[in-house]
Amino acid sequence: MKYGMAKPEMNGTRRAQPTPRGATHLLRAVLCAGTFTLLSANALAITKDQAKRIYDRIAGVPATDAQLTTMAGGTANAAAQLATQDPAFYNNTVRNMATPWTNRDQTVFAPLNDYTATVIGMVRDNIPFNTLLSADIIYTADAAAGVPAYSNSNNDMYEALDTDGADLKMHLQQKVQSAVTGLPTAATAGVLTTRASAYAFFMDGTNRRMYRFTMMNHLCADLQTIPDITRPPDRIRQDVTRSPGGDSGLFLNNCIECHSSMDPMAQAFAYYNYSYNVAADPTGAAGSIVYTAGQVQPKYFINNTNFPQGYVTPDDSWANRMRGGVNSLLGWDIAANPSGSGSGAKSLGSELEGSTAFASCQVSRVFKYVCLRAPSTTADTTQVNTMTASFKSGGYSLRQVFIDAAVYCTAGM
Amino acid sequence: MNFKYISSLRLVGLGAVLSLAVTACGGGGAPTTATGATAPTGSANAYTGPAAATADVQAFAVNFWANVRVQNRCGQCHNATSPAQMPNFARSDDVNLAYAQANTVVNLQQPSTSLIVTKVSGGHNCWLADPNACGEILTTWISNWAGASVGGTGTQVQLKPPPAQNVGSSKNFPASTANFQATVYPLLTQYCSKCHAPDAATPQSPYFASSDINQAYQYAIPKMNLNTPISSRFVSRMAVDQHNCWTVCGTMVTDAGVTTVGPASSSAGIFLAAIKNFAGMVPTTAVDASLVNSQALTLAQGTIASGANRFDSNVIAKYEFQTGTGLVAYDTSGVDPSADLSLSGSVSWAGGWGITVGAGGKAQASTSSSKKIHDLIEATGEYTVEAWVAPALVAADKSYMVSYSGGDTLRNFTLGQTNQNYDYLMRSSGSDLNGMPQLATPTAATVLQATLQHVVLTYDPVNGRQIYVNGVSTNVTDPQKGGSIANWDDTFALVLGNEVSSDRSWQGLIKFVAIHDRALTAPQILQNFNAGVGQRFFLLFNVAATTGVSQGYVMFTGAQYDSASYLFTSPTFISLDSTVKPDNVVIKGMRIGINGNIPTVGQAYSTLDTTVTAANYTAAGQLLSKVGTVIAIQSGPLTDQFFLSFDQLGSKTHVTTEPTPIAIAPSYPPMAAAVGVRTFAQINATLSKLTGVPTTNAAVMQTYTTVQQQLPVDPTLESFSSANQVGIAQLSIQYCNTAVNTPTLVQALFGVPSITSAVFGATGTAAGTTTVSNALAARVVGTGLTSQPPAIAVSGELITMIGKLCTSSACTTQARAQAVAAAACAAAFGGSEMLIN
Repeated sequence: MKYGMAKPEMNGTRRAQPTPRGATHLLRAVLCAGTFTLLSANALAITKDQAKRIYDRIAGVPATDAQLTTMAGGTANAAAQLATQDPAFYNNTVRNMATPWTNRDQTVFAPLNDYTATVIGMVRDNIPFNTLLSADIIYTADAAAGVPAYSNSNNDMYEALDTDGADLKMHLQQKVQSAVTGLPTAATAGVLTTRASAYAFFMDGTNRRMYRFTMMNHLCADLQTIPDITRPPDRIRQDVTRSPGGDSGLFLNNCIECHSSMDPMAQAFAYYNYSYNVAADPTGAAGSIVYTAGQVQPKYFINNTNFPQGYVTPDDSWANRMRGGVNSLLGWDIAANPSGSGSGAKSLGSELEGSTAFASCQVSRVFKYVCLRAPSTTADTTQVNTMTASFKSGGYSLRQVFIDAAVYCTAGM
Repeated sequence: MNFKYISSLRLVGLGAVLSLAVTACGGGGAPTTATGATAPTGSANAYTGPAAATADVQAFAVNFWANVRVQNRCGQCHNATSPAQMPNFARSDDVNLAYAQANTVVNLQQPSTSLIVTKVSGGHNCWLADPNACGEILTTWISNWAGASVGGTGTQVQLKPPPAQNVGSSKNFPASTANFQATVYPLLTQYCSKCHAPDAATPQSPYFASSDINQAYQYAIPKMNLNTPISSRFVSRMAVDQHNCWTVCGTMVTDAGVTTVGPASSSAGIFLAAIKNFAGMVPTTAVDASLVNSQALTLAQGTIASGANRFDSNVIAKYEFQTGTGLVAYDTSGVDPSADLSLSGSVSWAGGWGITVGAGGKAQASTSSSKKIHDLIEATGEYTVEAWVAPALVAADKSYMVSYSGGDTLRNFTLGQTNQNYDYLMRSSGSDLNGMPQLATPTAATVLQATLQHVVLTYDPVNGRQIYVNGVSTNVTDPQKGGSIANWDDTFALVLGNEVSSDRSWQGLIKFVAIHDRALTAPQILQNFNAGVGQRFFLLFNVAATTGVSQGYVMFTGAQYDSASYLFTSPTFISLDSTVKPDNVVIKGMRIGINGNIPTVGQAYSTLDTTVTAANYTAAGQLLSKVGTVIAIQSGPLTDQFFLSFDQLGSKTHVTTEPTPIAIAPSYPPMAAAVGVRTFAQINATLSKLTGVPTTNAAVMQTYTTVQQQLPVDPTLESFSSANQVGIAQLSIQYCNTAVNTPTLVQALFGVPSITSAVFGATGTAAGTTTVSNALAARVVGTGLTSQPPAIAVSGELITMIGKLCTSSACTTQARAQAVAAAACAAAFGGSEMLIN
């Protein structure tokens, strides 16, 4: 028996220990919630209980009694709109949703950084979320926050905002990323080229990590969910052995199913690296992003004798081999880029964020965050599809997705 | 084979540098040194005839004639006396006459194609059990002769057109799923659907066990081979990988090129039977007439390209592992005595030449035959160990690949592996008898990769030990330079894949090992690395009819890569008609076909889009792509027949269409509870909002930092644990304690101006008890919310609790009263009224 999580007694059996008070209240609340889901709420004027749940799910903190009273007189949509004005929505809800995207361990317990701040800012300002991976944009602290200035070689500004418990809704300001970081405009790719992203995904390795985590975080598609052994392997680099341990069967049945699509995509990052002093700063905390226009990073050529006949990266051109095969189901925007190819991270970001999978991923994630469940019925699936369509046609407002999800999941209370 | 034409084009070595001159062999190359102590084991009378007339005769005498004229080899018959079998190149009376005869049976430009080699390899009086081993030894002797004569730059390759063959018929997957559904599909749904189905608890792609038959078929096709069912992935996954078998997995054995699976009742056997059933229902059909194809050929119908350009002049033991069957791997160095290796334990022959060493396996020579290694190296005071290996593991501790030793504590030299480092142990005047301290590649460099690598250890007194990987020095410096190896022991044995004491097991693939009695120079090592390993062929795919280019071919360098695949590299458009200069030949979407089928996997040239132009065409042809690819073996290297298929070749086109992918129907988890819990940051913010204590308060921040990761991370009820509740209790106590001690917050939170010693009364029955309880309850429960418990009920619980606390310890001091107030606060705010989201 978990403390505070009592199960209902069954068939007259009794628990050996008395029910803790918290558990009693919890159980009561659950039962009450169940009762109210059976009731049909007025489609326009919501109840105070529905208002409370909407506010709780979006802001994560309770509304005041006055706020609940006000919301109860209006629509669910208006209540949700009000909840998104609570600073806690940005400081907690959006931040904690975005934080795992920004580090290799995918932990939510990571300091605020420029990647997370940019996501928060874009939600606050209703910046079309389909520019997340391509725009020349970044969010930094305003002067009133009284924190250290942005630095390419540390995270002090954002950690100070953390320490100060700063109201992120108030103190984040939109900036031109290239002006802040010094990257060429053409080299910016939204959150992908923030310092935190570079620290997590350009540090060491072969830059394939940036592709994998971007797919995972923004298309909800980790590599093992999008294998396709039928894609041509011509762009797989030399460092991928075609005969692991002397068995090319492994390559032909396993390695190829990811690398054939991944390597031509990860080529978009060929000019990026994360530079740090290995001896003095082994964790790379004081490192910074590096961009070498026109010059492929040496990491693209490591272990080049593993398969000398492999692909030698000449530039940062990329090709989306998933335009064909089973992963064409990710819904690529062919009209926006008929060739399915391009050069550099910015155009790759556009390719990814233009896909249906990108929109669906953001909506599904918010749905789960607000409804506390993955889509579990055909009605849920229909709702997610509807919200995805609205997301795409309505200017990619992620804030509106929170609102729509809260309205849907609290209806009928 | 019908060689209608032998091109004057010759490829020099593996670099495929073409030359029009017949006799020029290319310049440069490393200098050669004849191996000194190559004493045949058979009896041969001391030579008393005329001296060698020329330097080439001398090279012949030292490298070839001295080895073959003995009685237990060619000298038994091809002698000058009896039976004086012609050509008597092994005659012992006159080396110059023997030389003249030998020139009729050797090809110094391409030793492996010499008549004497092909005849002996074909079974003509080999003095060993394996005719191929004799052929390799003869090749080595001829190569050494040629190297000594012409500078060792390598052999010449003459391109030979393959016979004209059209693409054969084959079995192709039917569009209907009916046969699949009746044969293989039931096995998949019964045994694989717990993972390989989209609605599995933990779905694992590919979904060939999907409940949607169309989807399952789509994913299953690449895993089945209708032409050679035993090559199906479903079969090898059971028999080789032992992957989740539902009964005994079964085994797959290849012997003398024939692969079998057994027993029939095993998982692999059952799969094989089902796929055979499926294949039996599918008729053999002619190749699609609409395809734009080349003509076809097998690997053996290509022009041999391997064996060129190695520097082997000082080799004293060499293993190429070509036998492919039995328990002996022959030493083909040609230096007697042959230190042949006996295979024991988990050692199997690998396709494309090599042995696969499993846990506990080893290949070991006798101590007597190994003695030559000691003797010859002691004579020069330097040596080289060269190997092509593919480690199966990158986590290994003191695993030995090549060792010349007497046990785990006594050795002359050893090439070993520790994780991703190569280790080099060697006995010398600067080491102990176990060859320690060892030399190793740097850990950070992770030089050792689980792929085929060329590893070379060298030693000479000046430079000490050196380690080269893939032709490049690892630049590790030997602290024992200047030592001596005079203390080597001649009673040790050469062993591969383990220690002679069998306690240093190494796992992986060994494709080649050579020991030289000289320290190879860096250029020589690079030369041997570039020469590669294994037998390669120039495969000429005839496209003359389609392109209209006289004797036009797309030429690949092809080889059996390992037991599972072929390697295809350097596709080149070339005409063997030297008067032709092709122009404007469009080549798009090239695919490699096998046995009438075009595999879906590994088609690296399907994106090819290029044009052969006169401007880019040279005598060596026009390279179409720099990348190589591997294509899965089907029936085996002896019978697999290859062809090329094109989306466009010249003016002829074929539109390749991909199957339309089938969308995966959504699967649903069990319906979760409609409510959940606040997560860590939400709890922190909520407690701050309820108490009025800012989250930045030092005390609460410290507690929050401590318990942050103990608080709920997942908002679902199902994941809530008692540890979460403990963390919530700690944090709420800290918030409430801080609030109690913050006078400005007391009135709003507790409903009283201050928490005095009188607020609860001594036993908790004063009016303040109800006031405080009501205030806390109202704050956490709110008003008018039917989803929350009644405030009066919560207040009642708090009143009872305060009473109990003041009864157990009288609330007569302010400190006690504050403690009780904080406890009531924490009880109210740390419960489900706050937590439920």
